[in-house]
Amino acid sequence: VNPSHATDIYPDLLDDESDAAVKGLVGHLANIYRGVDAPVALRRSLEGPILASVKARQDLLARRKVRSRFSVKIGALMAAAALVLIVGVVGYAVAPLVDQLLAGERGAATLPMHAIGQTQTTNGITVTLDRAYADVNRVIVVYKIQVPAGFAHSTSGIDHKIQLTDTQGSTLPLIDASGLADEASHLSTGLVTFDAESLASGTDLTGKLTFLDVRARAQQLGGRELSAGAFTFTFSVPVASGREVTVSKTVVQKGVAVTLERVVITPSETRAYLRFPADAGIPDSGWSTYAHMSGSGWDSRQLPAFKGLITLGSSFMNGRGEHVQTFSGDFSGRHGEWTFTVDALFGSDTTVPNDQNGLPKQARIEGPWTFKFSL
Amino acid sequence: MQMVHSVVNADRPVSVPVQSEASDADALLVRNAQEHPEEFASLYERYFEAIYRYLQVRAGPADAADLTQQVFLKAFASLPKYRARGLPFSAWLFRIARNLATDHHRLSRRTPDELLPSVIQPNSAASPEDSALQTEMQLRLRSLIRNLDGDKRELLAMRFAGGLSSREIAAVIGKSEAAVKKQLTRILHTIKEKYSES
Repeated sequence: VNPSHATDIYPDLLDDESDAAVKGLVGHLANIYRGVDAPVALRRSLEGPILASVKARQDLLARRKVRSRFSVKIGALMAAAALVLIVGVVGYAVAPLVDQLLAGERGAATLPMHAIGQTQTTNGITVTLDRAYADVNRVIVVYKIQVPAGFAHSTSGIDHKIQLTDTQGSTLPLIDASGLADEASHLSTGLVTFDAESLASGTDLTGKLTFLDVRARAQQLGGRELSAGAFTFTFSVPVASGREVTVSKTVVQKGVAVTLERVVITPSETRAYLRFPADAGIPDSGWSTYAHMSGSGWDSRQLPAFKGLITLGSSFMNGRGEHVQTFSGDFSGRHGEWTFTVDALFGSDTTVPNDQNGLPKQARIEGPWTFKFSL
Repeated sequence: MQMVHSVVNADRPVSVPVQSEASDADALLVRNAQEHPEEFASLYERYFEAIYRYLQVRAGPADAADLTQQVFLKAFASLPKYRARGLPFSAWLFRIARNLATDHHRLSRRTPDELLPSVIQPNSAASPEDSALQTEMQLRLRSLIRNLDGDKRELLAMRFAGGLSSREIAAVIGKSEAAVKKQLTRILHTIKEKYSES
């Protein structure tokens, strides 16, 4: 980059810059940072796995168009085939499937899970409710499905086929699900997380976990599918208590008052409950928060992110109209002064059609709104 | 053979910063790639050099190629779930790269995350005197960059190696565009002062 052209290439840095030495410096920096080209071999090395993934997805899309009623099954198979490539690249260690699964869910490997070990078999398919954990933020269950030789089971799409209800018959909302399958041993295992906001700490959760429709596909092309129908397990686990801090503080920035009502810290997750009257023409439920937490010697943003997903938590609105910001991982060992910062509020309105660029109507209000409290 | 998948409840959207504008070109390429997987090649062509350069600074030349491959495989696998929601595709891709680089350093513990540009060979057509000057200039700049905080070195890596604009960097790290511009300007002036002194 010729320093005299730097302004054209870096307008965000140099449009308002009158110092010629800074312009020259930008040119020099560009040259040393951009002086190394990617090796030609890199492009070649990507061709194989990328093309294989593209082919798998093309097949998936083609089959969906032709036989939509089988889209879930074929989709699961093809998506899994594409993802096998990633597993190969990342180089998963050979370890029990459940251990691999727990390692992939942030903080799950260290949770005090309760062994359940209930097993049921129908039509040659054995479903095991392996272990479970509950606190006032999340319920996590781990299951295994063993199918006969010649068949395979994929946990993909399980989020539409699994339900957890409490003794009152209330269904706990599903948060997320993940799974692993080993076709050689015909075994698959899955981890499903449910929202536990409705549970009271210090009690036991007696839950009814229902697999609505368990099937196994034939490994041989054109082979018949094996159907085992529904499986229901009743189990009981203690609901681990968390630490709840009532903050009830309001901070006003840019004319927007944000109230941090309380923070609930449990081993599975930390949740901050907020209220704010953002509007900008976007419904209240369309607003979310971008936030982080910090304390003496720690910052939620510096913790390693959940492998494969680049987020430290999520943001949603609960049934009481509170905006809930969650942080994955175990912060229950953090004591002393906490600082909770809402960096920005953002709204995305999915109730109206997207614009011509395919983007929903959006708005953003910059903070920060900063709250301090002690634990 | 093992398979892995993950689903996330749509009621719990991933927290991402939002920008008021997005790249029209990227939006079109992403939409095409979501509908026609073979079009992913266009996104790859557009970004693989930038991702490689960024990872070369983050992880060194020995590992940058492997990490670049992982970034695009992850991006391809996650593309059907990608929704702009104000997060430009470039920022989304660099978030993947940034996290992979962080995981790489955390897991391998082989090399410190120096976030420094490589020393490149001077232009072969340059005179011996010019070559010496170019090399000296690079070494001086590297030395000044080394003295910056890690966060600042990362901003430089994203801006100059990755080619991200201040707006895109803001989306990657979750700050405002104004804050990123201000910080970059300060960094440039700090380096300039010390560069002039030396």
